[in-house]
Amino acid sequence: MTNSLHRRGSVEDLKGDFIIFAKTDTLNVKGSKPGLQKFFEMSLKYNPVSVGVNHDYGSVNPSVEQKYAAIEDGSIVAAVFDNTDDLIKYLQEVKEEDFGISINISGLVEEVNECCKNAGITRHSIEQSLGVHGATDRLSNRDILEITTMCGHGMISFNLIKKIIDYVKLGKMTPEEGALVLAKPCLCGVFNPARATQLLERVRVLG
Amino acid sequence: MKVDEAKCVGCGNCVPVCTMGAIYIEDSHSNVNEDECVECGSCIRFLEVEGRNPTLVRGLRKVLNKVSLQHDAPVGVCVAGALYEPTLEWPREIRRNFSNPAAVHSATGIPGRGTDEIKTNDVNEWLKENEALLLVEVGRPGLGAHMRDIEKITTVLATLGVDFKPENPITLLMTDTKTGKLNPDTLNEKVLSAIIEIKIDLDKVPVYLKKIKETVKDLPTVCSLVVAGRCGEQGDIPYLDAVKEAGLTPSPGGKTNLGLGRRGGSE
Repeated sequence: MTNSLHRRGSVEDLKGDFIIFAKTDTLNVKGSKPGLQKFFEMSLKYNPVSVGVNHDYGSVNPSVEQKYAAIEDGSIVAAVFDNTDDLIKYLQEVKEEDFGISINISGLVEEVNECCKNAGITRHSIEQSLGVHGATDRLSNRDILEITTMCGHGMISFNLIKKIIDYVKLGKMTPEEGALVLAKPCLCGVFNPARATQLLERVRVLG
Repeated sequence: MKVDEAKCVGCGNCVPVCTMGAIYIEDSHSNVNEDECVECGSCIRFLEVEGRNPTLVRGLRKVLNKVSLQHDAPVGVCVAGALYEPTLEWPREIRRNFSNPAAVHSATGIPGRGTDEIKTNDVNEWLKENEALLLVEVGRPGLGAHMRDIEKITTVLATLGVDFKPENPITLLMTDTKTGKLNPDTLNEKVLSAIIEIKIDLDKVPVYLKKIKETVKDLPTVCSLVVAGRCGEQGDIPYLDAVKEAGLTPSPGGKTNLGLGRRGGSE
């Protein structure tokens, strides 16, 4: 599905939000586990702000080790980066390893294209959001949408975000603590707690 | 989702967690509006069970209230583990299948509401040059959608003669892909979101996008639109002119398939 495609935010905000993930097809799923494990392991060297394995759903707040252990043939393995320097270094290594598995990056299209060029890659296919249509007057405000759309499955409710914003404004939680609470409902690990911290800090100060 | 009233102490921690706002407090315990609940399971996963004795907690709360004091349970806990997931039967089970990311969709065999879209297009070459993939994700972000509203879109698209992606979960609920009609049993079911996927020739993109925009404008929910295409040899984006002709602008963010996959993987 379109998990990481509809992230809201200004271009400036989105400059710190890149998700790279490996996905197999039925044509190459068999025997993919070692490659996916290596893809996961390699990402840890480049300071990802989150990593995820879609098949770790059974655990509550799984550790990095538990996520690694959950990887099997056909798992979707993701890492979230908050800067392109680390992403490019990781990408170069991924290209060199030549896993033969589809690798996708969600993030600013032109920034991602530059990263690809730096790593000697020509993009193959591309997918972009064309916005939200219909009863948009029923949606919450910008701050809430920027946070909720970081979970592609829509697991972070508008009301939970409102509550955490209130807690942060009241001093009951720091933005970092609030971001960690908000990251919890996101099962596949593509939520970006570093960006959520910045957004909560902005809301705390600016109202 | 259900609440065990004997266990619930009415702390209200589950209320804001609900993705659809379907949980509310009444008679001092949580209640679930079953029409609005999409069985996503987010509440039961998010809230860790504290395992306290509910009778004791209720008693202490009453005492504290009498001296104008209160104790809020920490965010992220269910005091006595009052939530539980009942066994779901057809057609209600489709709520979970479309809404709970941990549920493997019985129709597609994969978790999620859609298909691989372009994620593995470098391997299967499903989407070719001069073709476009359009997706309408109904209910996203955050509002959810009834199947009856999704059917309004599929039936309109069917009149244009589209190819619905065969393995897509919504396509699999159609009684006839030529009419776009969904199984009537499902029409009152609500899901967190569902994705309609169609593949068309690139030059038809403006017509289809205009029709989709016109159809969704009066729906009681929202739709997130998506366009996808196979890049040219230099990596250029193929659909920009067509999207512009439809009066739309692609968001600066997107998903890029790097073209590093191949059949047989690393073999």
